[in-house]
Amino acid sequence: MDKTTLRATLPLSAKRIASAEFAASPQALTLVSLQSHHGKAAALAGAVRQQCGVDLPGPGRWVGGRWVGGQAVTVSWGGHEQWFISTQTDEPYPFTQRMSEALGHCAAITDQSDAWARIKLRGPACYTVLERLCPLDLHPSVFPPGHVARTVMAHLGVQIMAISGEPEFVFLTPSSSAQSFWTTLEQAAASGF
Amino acid sequence: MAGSTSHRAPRGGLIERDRSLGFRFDGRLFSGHPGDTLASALLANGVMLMGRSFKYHRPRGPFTAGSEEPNALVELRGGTRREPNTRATTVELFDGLEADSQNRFPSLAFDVLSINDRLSPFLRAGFYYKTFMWPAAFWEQLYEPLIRRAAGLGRLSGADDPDSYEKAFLHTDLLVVGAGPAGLLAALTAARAGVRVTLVTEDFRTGGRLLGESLTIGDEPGHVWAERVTAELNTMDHVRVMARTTVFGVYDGGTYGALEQVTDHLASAPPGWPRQRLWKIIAKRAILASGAIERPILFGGNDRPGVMHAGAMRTYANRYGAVAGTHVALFCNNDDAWRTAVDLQNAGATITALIDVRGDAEGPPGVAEALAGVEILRGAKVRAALGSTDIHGLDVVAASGRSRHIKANALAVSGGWNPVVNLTCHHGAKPVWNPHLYAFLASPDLPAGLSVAGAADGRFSTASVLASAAARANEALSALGLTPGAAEIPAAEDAPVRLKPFWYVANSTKKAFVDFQNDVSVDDIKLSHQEGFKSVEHLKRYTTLGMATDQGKIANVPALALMAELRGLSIAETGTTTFRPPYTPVSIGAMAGRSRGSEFRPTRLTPSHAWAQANGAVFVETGAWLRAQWFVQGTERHWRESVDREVTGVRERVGICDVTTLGKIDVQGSDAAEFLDRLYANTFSTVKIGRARYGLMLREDGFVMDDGTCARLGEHHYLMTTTTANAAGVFRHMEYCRQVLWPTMDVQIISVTDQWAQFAVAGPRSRELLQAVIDPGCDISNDAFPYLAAGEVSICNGLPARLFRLSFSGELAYEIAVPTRYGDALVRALMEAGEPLGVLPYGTEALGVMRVEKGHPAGNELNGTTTAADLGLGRMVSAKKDCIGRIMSLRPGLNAPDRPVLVGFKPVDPAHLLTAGAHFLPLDAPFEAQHDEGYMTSVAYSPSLASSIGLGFIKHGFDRIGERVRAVDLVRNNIVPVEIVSAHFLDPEGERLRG
Repeated sequence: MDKTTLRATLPLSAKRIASAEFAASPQALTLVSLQSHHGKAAALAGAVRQQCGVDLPGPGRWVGGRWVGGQAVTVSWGGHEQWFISTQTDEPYPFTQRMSEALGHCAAITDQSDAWARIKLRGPACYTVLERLCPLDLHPSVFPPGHVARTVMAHLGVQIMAISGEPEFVFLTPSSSAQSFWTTLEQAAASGF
Repeated sequence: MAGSTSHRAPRGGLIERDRSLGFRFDGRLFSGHPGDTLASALLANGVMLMGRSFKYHRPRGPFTAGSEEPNALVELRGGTRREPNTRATTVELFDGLEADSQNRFPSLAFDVLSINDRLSPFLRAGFYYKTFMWPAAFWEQLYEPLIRRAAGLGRLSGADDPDSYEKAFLHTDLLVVGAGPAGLLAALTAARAGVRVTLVTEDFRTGGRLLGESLTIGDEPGHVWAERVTAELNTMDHVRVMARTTVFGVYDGGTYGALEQVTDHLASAPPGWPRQRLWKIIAKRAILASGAIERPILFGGNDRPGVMHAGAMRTYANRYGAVAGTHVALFCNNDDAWRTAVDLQNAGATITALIDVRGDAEGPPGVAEALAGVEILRGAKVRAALGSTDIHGLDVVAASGRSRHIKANALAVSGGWNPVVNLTCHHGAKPVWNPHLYAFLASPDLPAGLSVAGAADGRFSTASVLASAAARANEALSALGLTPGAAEIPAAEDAPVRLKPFWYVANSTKKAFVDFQNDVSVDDIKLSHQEGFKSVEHLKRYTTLGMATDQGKIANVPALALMAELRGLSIAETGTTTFRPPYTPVSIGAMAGRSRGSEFRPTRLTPSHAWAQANGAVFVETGAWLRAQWFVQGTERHWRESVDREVTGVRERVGICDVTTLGKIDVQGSDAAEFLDRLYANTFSTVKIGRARYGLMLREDGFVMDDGTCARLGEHHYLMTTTTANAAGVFRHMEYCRQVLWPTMDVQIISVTDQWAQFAVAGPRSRELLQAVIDPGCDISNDAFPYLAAGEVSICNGLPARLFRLSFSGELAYEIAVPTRYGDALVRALMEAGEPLGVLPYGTEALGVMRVEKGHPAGNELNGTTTAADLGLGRMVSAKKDCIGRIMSLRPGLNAPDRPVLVGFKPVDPAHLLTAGAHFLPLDAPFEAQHDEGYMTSVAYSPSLASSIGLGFIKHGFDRIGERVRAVDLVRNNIVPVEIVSAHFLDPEGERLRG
């Protein structure tokens, strides 16, 4: 019997919020977690520099780099001796495989591409919408582009990255509860600017 | 339009006179203007009577023009949106507003229960405590319902709240609470220096007292100055001016709670907008500019409609152009109040008398001249306001002692001003009596980061208010690291405070009230003192003074003064109660925010959710997850039909169950094996790569914490599972072990629960089914992939997947995992490929039946009170190594020979159904706790055995197989003789799962 090739279903795939003041849309995500093995932080930093051309960012920061082949990657701090490397490809496996091979000797590498839903938010009303969800101060004087934070919104763990001063933010929220998170986002966006 | 605006001054006021708003009060149609409150619009229409009091049902009118209002409480809106106890003085008028007076029957003007007022000699403080003492049983059945009916305030709709509420967070450098002259100038000074400023006012318009007074600032009217400052603030991006927002509490670390009334002032809210928004404001510094609340002088009939605070009467006249009466008198003890007579005269009222308790009163400069022709009675007192639903005169005693009748249909009263220091007390400090200002001021022990400006700090002239605001703003700027410049302080009046403390008219000829909202009279305070309730805290609780929506904003200080006098002490010596949040009432809906109904907490969906939904799944909440409980097919009407079919289908053919919800934790690092040996009771360092093992975890106290499986994917790489319910708890426990207990170990853990979609494929034909999706080259024959094998496979033309040969059902079974995005496609592919094999989906209920048939413990058995030995798993606690909980599991109590242990139970008569929770008693024993031998934890109907079966704990159970006892469930009245059997009902040798 012929085998069916499995088709991917991404969380929130059909969701959109689009207005002049505020727009939100889900995005493809390829994401690996790096957790440095004991005593291997320096080696990991070197390996990441080699792979992505950037230094590992310090607490609360992310940097943009390029993966071999020129593809843009984001390296973001995730916790004590933990970082996330993400890129936007439809098929995570080749990337995560490559990262495991290149970095596995100095860090625990896990594929997290399916564990999170990535949502991009933009528009002048971002701050107004986000203050209804986010307990953190996202004012550009406090949380400018290049900053990342992990926090809780609507009872859910969230990673939030300031992308540009447009303003533009990227959220990562657990994929199993992404529908609930989206509902909350829609409510916040509908409750007046 | 019915109702004339008889009491509206011909001009003036901050209302839009060219626009009219229609509204109803008690069904009658009235007209007001944008800018009105409900109270001001009613006053302008000549309606002074707005409510009935709580206890005596006395007719009441508005006493204030602000949020401190004790009297004018109404039910706002109708139907499910009815909101009781709403202060008419703060309700912003909108077109179509509907309000009803409350606590009256049949009408506001004629109320049957006003008989209570005649009975008031019997209904004094402590009446209920003294009267309804016996018989005790009557309280709940009779007394309480009767009292509640008679003494209720407004009515709740009893229906679900149809509005939505929202929470929000705000971060600012400087929070300014109150937008009167102090708040505005403080905000402006700080804003011009460039810091992030948030200015908050409970009013719908900025200006505070400036709106209600005829004062000037610089060379312009106060309200014009306020408007100009507000406009400047609004042009600045770093400034936020929030109207209709009340800061109700001060919390730790510069956190303030505030309630924004987003759409309360609209006839109907735009779709999606919340009614109210609860703000958590985090401010580096805060300035409290909450102003002051006037205080009364107590005299007979001081609660009658028409008697109101002098400042309120000025506000109605100046801000709203609403004149409280045609013939107005003034009763006061201070200079400030004299301006009332001028303002009301300018608004068209006749001033019939100015009664000042001070024999030497002169009034502010120029005021006496402006009042030429008005009789000024110095050293006189009002003994009573005469009337009932309105007043028609005053009984006054002149300085000479002679009685006078003064004509008046409105009386302004002022006993001075009380700074609003409520928020300064929220960290526990009590206000401090200032003997020079005769007022309580904030304790110097303020919440960190908070300072007080303006009238709230006892500055009563406009000039001193502005000066203190500028000073506080500059201090805040310094604290924020800026060098403040010279603040621009406009010129304003700087009259000295001239006041003679005077609290109540001793020879009042009618009942004088201290607390209008709770109907506490001067006599009640005296009675309370006489009966020994001398402490202010006791006084408050005995008389209910200072309770309910106004929280004693008006009544507290006069009551303390009275108590001080009765005790022969100073007010400072008498002490005071303190203020706690909230400053004004906060609806419960706002505190819940969006967390209500189906959005009470987030929902987690399994990868097969959409497919299951389309295939008859009935879902159950397990933690935050929604899982398919069973799938209804064909004509199935009863859940047992579905579950029996699913169990049989798995046992005979093959079934699929989404088990994604089990916690999955990836464990890596060179010490991963050692870490797991310490974490689990049994050993994992000896597990071969490509194999899995069942694991049992103990708590530090030796009881069982959780169970699951753990597969070794590499030398330093394990993947463990936890139960669905304990996933977060186990992960937290592991982080604690890793970070705190053994920080030197090289271990990295991360949750991969959401990363992988995982399905159990169980039943004798499961291997055949998997072979249909697994790519050629992956051998899963029994030899190549035996029971407890684990490894990577490739499926459906090259998708990497993980396969585990694990069985919860006792069948030949696997769990297959793919990245979550492929979960939906995989379940569909398995169902399609399995069709020739008779595949079927099964839910958690069938899963539960099969695990009971196999005697596998689950949440009901791992209930926090059971040990490994209790579960018959004592040998899993390895003696060859240490682990968390091992030492404590050796405690004698946990090893007592008569601890109940896990065995199976079958009804002697197969027709009987067992119930979980039943206790086991010997067949002949009476139903008494002393004969209790254990309890049933899980029951199921086993279609395989055609019998109800159960798991439970019973003393010496392993040695009593074959014995009969009774399962006694007195709650559901189900008494069943049962036989103790092995917990392994089905295939005890495990031949099926190894096949």
